[in-house]
Amino acid sequence: MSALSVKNLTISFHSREGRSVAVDGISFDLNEGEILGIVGESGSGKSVTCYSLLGLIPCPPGKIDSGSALFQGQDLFSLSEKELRKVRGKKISMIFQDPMTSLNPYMTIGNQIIESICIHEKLSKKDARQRAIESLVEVGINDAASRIDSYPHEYSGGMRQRVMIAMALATKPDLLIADEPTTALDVTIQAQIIDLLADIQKKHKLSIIFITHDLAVIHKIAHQIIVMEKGLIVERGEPKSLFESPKHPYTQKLISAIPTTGKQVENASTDQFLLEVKNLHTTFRDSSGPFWNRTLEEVKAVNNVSLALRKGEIVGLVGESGSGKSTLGRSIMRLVNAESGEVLIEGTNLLGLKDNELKDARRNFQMIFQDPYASLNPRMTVFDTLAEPLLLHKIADKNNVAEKINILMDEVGLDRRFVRKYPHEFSGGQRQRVAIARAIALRPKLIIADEPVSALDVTIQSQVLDLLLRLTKQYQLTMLFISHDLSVVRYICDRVAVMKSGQLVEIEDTETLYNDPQHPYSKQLLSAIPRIE
Amino acid sequence: MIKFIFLRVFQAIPVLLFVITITFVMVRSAPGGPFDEDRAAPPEVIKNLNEKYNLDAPIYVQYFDYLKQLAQGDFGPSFKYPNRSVNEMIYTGFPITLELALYAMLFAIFVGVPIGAAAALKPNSIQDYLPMSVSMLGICLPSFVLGPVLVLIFGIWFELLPVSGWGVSAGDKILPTVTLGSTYAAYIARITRGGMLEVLSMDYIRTARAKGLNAYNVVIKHALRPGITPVVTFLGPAIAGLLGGSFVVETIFQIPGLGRFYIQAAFNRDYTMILGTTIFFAALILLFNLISDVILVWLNPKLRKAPSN
Amino acid sequence: MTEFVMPESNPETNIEQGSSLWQDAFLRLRKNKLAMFSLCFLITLALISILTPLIAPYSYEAQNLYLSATAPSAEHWLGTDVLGRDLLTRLMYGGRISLTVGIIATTVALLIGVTWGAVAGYIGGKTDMFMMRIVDILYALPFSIFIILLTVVFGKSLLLLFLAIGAVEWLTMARIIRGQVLSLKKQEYIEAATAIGLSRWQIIRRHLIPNALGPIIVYTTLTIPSVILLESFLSFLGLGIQPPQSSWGSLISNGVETMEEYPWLLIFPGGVLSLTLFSLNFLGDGLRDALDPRVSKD
Repeated sequence: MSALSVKNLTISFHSREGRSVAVDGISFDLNEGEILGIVGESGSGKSVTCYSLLGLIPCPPGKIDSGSALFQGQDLFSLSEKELRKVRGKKISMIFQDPMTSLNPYMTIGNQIIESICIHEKLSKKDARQRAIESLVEVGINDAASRIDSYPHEYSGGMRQRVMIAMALATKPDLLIADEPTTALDVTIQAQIIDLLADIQKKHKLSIIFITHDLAVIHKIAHQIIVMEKGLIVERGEPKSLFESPKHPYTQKLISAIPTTGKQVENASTDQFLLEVKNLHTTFRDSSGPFWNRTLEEVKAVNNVSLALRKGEIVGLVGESGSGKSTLGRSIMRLVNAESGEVLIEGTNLLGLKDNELKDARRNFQMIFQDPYASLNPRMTVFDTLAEPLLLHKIADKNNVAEKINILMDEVGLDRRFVRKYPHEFSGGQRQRVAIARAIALRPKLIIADEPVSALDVTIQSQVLDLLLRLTKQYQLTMLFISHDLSVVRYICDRVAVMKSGQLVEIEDTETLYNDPQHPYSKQLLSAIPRIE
Repeated sequence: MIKFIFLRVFQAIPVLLFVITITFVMVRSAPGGPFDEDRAAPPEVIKNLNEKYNLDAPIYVQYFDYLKQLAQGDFGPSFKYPNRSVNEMIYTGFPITLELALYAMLFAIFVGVPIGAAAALKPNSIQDYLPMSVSMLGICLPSFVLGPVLVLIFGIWFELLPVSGWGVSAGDKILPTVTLGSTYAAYIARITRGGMLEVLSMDYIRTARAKGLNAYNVVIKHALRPGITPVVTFLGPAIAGLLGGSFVVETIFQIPGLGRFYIQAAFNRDYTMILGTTIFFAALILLFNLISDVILVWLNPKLRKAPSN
Repeated sequence: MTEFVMPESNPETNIEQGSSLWQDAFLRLRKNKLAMFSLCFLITLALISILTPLIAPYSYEAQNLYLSATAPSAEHWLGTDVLGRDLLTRLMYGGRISLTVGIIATTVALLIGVTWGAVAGYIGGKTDMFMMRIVDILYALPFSIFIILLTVVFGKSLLLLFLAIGAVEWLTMARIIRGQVLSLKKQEYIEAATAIGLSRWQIIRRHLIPNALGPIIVYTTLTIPSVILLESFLSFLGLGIQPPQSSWGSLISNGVETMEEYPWLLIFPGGVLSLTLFSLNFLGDGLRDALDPRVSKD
């Protein structure tokens, strides 16, 4: 029995530049009481498909050109707005990617859930409140009765997503659409939310559409998976067969892009240390709260961290958001001021350098940033961006700078003809290549890469990772690779350091750590990785 | 909340003192005394007058005397009309000015917010362009142009409404209110549109729609409160502008409000009157800023100290 | 912005020319008909104002009581005022004053505001809090009243008017610039520039200023009309420009007195003033849309 049957759905968007097809004649079925995973990268049309079911895409510019969606004997696309409202939230509920922004910050959690219930059912305020508390308890908020009148900002990220799920379930829907519900969450929280969704699905015999860009996340709980690319369904099937024998090249690419195995350890690295961090402390003093009630907070972002990197080694630095891993990277770079400790590069303490000495020393250590959209000056061409470090450090002069830039472009796999273009004319992956070119322009010895691939689509991720691997080998670079993505880290790093609350809890060879973590937090973190067995 | 209000009032005191000092110093350092222009006055008379108003004492003495007076709520006598005190003039003029400003403010809010919200609901449609173009007109048509034009049309050509006075004949409050309020209605409409557009693109609006709320309830229950936050922020400066604008409107419509007294005082170099009115206005604007801050805090649960936790 | 010289031709590759954000913005602005119309109108107005002493048909102060308040005619296109002076001429001279006040006062506001806001935003911390607190306090003051006070105390001089208005208008400018600098400072490309080894000053000059320029230009365009309005307001109350000189505000003020009999004396100056304010606002709005990165192609 199918809970939802979509046939021949085509959706297009109309703008001044013309018509673009977002979803191109797709059909799929969702069986009752099953989880259907829709996997695809940004722009694949996976979200648009699901939003269109509830009439939530803005029309215009969006337009449903053709298709039907049979749900409980009704075609959702032929319903009027008024009829559709009776389906929304009542029969089909949704949860969204970012629980931080998807809850109204101006309303209490309780009122938002109660509102959801009272739209569809004639219940007294008291009964609705009781129901709201029950559904909060069901999603694991045990002190619901006392926390129901709190505002969203008083909850943590994972808790907020639980609230979203409670809100979606409070009306006892038949179908739940979950749009990237774990993408904005830390890996341990992500695992909890996925378990929760799987439990609830079993308990209520709920049908779920689970949209994600991450095959690994979905494969454990989905009954069926469809893979979308550029508005088309390129492959469908049960997770097991899909993973074992993917037929379409795009699926194969997606699966191979998931770093499953560790890096081949080559004992190229010597025992000589390039970077030594000794007892580093970085403290932020932040005054928070409204000004009439300001509290001065001290956050020990980096708390007594010692770490050493051998020449030619890639060391991963993992941890969840707020663990201080980025701050550690920036403290080494001297982008934020450390309070005490030492950062030695080939024996020179960076923290002791004066401004002019530091400028020359910066040749030796460079950084790659997370967001390729924000890390390039939008008003400078690629040429200017790359020429800046070359000329500043007198590696090139006016006569040969163009030549050097051409070489850099080749090295990072960008077309030489693009040097006169501006960042906004490039895709995310290309921009990150420009950022990498800027970082290696000075031929540094150490590179600190702060989440360099987490803003990119999976297939682009693997290309950029391979580029980084090739460059480190070619130039004997040492790299500190900061990431929250444990499978990426396993793919690229020789050793991995685990950080929690500003402290380094474990550092070990990658495979040793992944197979046999010692510290309880490392164990927790590693067990949360979505795996493909 | 009470702590917040208390703190804000406490903070306003040095600001007010600053205003008093600056105004006082400026007025006293002005070239020429108030009695210089009275050609007929012989030197002895001027001397007597100066003595009467204590103008011969060192300036700091005068300053502290004046502060002492102010603390007792006394703005002193008028220089120009020796028989009247500044308090009296404020007492007669201010209620009219306040009434005018409040009417104009209400007009601005009740016209501006719905128009701006409606425009934001259908951006880039006729429902957006038309009111936004008209509002631009409202911003660009200064009150001293709009007022006379309205008088010309409604008062003189069609003879529908009285062209001057305040509370004298029926309907004479309409034109001044519209004249003063329309610029601010236009500003508020544009600010509301901007605020609402931003809020309507938020994820939680999508959540509300996905719950099955109808468009009306999405706006009223979810979008309006955060959407009008920038309007509330604007209210403080708007009141300051309205009080300034009331000078013009009171001049055009011959309304015996404080603004007209102030302009007259400015022409007559009636120093105590200028001093007193400026300080009075400053205190008033500080008060309205405080009110707008309190509303802002009340609107935003993140700023309000939460009862739980 | 390009400081590095590129060899004229590169034989190996043909280089694709990119379009900068400025070029994109200009293209978008050109599509905005209202903004382009406003720009043309303003340029014409500026040219007329500059050339006024050469092209004005009559003298702005010579009175001719035989011609008292004549309606628009072939000799006097916009008619004459009560004292028989040519209205067109007086409008042209008035425009000179109104525009000059607008530009000079805006420049004053720009200089103070940008410096104040940039310093507060860049240094941050306690300095920022202190500087912005001052702005907050000044914001809370009744400024139209203050300016009236200034003109009363120091006499009605044009220079004072410039300074007084400029000194009021810088507040918003400072706030906007500070906000810009604060958000720019957090951008990763600023960190990247630091990581490369650029000095503070180089970062400000090459990365901060070019990126903050857009909002500055937009806000400047929007400040000019409010300054012109403030001057007209004062002249209307009789506290600004003194006869026989004219500004748009004083012309409107005179027009109001006789609007029942000679409505053109109110309508023409009022119309020109409104049209100018309109154009400046539309141009500012158009620039804002054109420079907004959110609408840039992506």
